[in-house]
Amino acid sequence: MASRVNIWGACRSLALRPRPARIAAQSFRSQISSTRFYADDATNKPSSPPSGNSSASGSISESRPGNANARLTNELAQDASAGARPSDALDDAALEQILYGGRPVTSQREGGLTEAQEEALYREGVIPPPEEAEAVLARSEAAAESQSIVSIETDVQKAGHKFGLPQKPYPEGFHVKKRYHPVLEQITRLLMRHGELSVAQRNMATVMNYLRTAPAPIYSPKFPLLPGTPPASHLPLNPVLYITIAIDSVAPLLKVRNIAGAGGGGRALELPVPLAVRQRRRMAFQWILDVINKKPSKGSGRNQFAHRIAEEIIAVVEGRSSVWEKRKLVHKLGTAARANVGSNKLKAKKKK
Amino acid sequence: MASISLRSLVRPSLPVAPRIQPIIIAAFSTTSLVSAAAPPAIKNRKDLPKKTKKTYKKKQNIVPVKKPAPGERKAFRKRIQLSNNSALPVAGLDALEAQTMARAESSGRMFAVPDEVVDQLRALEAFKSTQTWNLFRKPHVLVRKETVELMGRLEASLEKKEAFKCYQCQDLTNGNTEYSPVPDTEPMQFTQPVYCLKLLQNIYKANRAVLEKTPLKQDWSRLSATLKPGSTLADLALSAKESEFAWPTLSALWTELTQPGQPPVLLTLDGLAHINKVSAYRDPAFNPVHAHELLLVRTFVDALSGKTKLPNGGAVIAATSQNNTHFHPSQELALSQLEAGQAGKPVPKPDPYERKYDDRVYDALKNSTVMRLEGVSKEEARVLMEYWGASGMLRSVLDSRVVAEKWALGGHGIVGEMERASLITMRM
Repeated sequence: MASRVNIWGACRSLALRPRPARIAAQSFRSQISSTRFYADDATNKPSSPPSGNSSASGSISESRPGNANARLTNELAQDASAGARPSDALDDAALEQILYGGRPVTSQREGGLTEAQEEALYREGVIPPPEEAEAVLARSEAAAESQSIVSIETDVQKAGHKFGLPQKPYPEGFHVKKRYHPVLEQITRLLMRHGELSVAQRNMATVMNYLRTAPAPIYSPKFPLLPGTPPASHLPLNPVLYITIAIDSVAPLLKVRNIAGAGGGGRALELPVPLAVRQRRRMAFQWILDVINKKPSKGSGRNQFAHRIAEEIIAVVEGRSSVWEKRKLVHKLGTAARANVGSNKLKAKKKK
Repeated sequence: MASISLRSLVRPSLPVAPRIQPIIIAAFSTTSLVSAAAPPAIKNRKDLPKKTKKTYKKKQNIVPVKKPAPGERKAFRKRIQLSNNSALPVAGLDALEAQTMARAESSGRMFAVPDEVVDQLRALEAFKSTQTWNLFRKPHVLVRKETVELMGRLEASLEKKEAFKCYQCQDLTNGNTEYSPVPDTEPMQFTQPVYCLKLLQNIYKANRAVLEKTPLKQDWSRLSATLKPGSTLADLALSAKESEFAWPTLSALWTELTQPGQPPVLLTLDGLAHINKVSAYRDPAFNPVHAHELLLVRTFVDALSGKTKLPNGGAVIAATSQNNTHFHPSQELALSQLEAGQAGKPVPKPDPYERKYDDRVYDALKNSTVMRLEGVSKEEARVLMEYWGASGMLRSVLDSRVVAEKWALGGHGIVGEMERASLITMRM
């Protein structure tokens, strides 16, 4: 009996052999789509095979032995489910490690980020390895080029314009509404008061000049920044990167949504929800603004608001800011509430 | 007898005019009890008088923070930073030397300002807090075509430099500094003791090396007991410890410098229009005081007009601009006539209907040479922007299109505006 089990165990491993080929196909597909979805892994590695595949293989292996012992199938199902959702297999300590701790402070490489890496950071909020960033950038450029070719052809067909249409890709600063850096654009609107956009833009410029003239920050090992952050000496001369690193590092990965009445007994059900990049940045900067508004100014004059923001950004990067505590709190709550993700009560609520 | 004496102590009842006494019609009365509103009847427990809820004022935790002294925050705001350790050092630029600025080949190039010159300029308050010195590793200057031209003119007399500086002349005439009349003058003249003391100290700080080597030619022992015949100009400048003695000492220093055999002198002034107007000061009869009646201004104006001779050589430079100024008809007339004369064009005539001409101003300016300064040229702008890029402050690609764009945005090459368009902006 035991020997049979071993044989079927070997069969199972055989059945799983075609996996690498599938993984390759998966990675190819993931390369095509440059956007990263909620469910994708944070490191942009090829995600584990979907549960459908493994469960299918499981069912195949189950059907072959016919009425095999229940223990084995049980094991198999466990394996399959583990393959489907790796997060379920992690214990609290491991998850905490992933969420806020144990990350490498800076990248191992000597120099700063490549241009493609910076682009990826601004777009996706994570710093990929340089080769991957290059590949993504090249693909997006190719896509843009193919688009532009199509547009030129259509232009030729519709030759009714007096001066012709501008050619894509547009030069830098061509579009009046896309004149500023996307991260700065979002943050500037957040720090705007009374709808005075140009004042907010001036404040933003003052923040950046403050960061450029301040000495390089000293990273704290207690509060690790975004993985792959360049060395501190690279930040002052690139204030946009400085601000992005600060904000993306303290940005929460999720928020806890309270679903009224779904908790049972009139309680709300706490449901952790993942956030997109812009949402995360917004939340992080709102926290920073909350801290700033409680702080007294140190000097006088119209630059005080901007100086307080800049000081808080430096404090975030150096790990002195109280914003880190807020992030920790949100993540703790999310970790505690993750049992509610697939709740039956939620479905019942939806049916109603 | 006793009753009479007692009656004498009682207040006498004098007859009083009846109309002064108040006429009392009715006796004192109150409203009747019936007309007052009755208190609400208590029917149940709700109507019982309730205890007012006590609000305990929340104790604010007051953190003992040391508040800055008066003026400290402003001083911090106005401080001048001349270096930025985050900026990249720019290699391959020469340092400014004595003859550099006069050479034709240094036109359109950047030069590093040596540290000792930086200290001197700082003492003379030549750096402003609105300029962007704080972005760069070290102060550098662009030598323009006009700089070379001006320095070529100065070259003959500039061996050892001595600089007076009246920084921001509007401070002299807008009534913000103290003034005191000089006795026995007609029309009354005024000195500005506090400003003079500060100016003396600045002159000493900036020109210490030269002043300490130059001995006095006259006997100034009446000003201070410490001034012996063998003492130097530095001793003279330092002898004024209080503002009352500042003006006599400053005029003594000026007298010494205009003696033959002393070093050449450079007098500079910014904001010429401000010293040509009627100042904000008033004399004891409350008549407005013309700025030329202020002795410090008059010293400069006399030197500018050539009334005071500079036997050792030297230069007097006054600058005016289109900003922070006011229209002064005589000054405009004098400058336009001088400029036309220099260019060989027909000289403009004074406007016969203009009433506000001021002959004193016209006479002060008519012997000078005018040099018009415009913004930097595009080539010079390119050199400047390359320096910004090398310092790591300009991150965009630098090509002729970008240079032309920033040059045009900066009002055709006004450096401050170009800085605003490319350094102090959200798009860097």
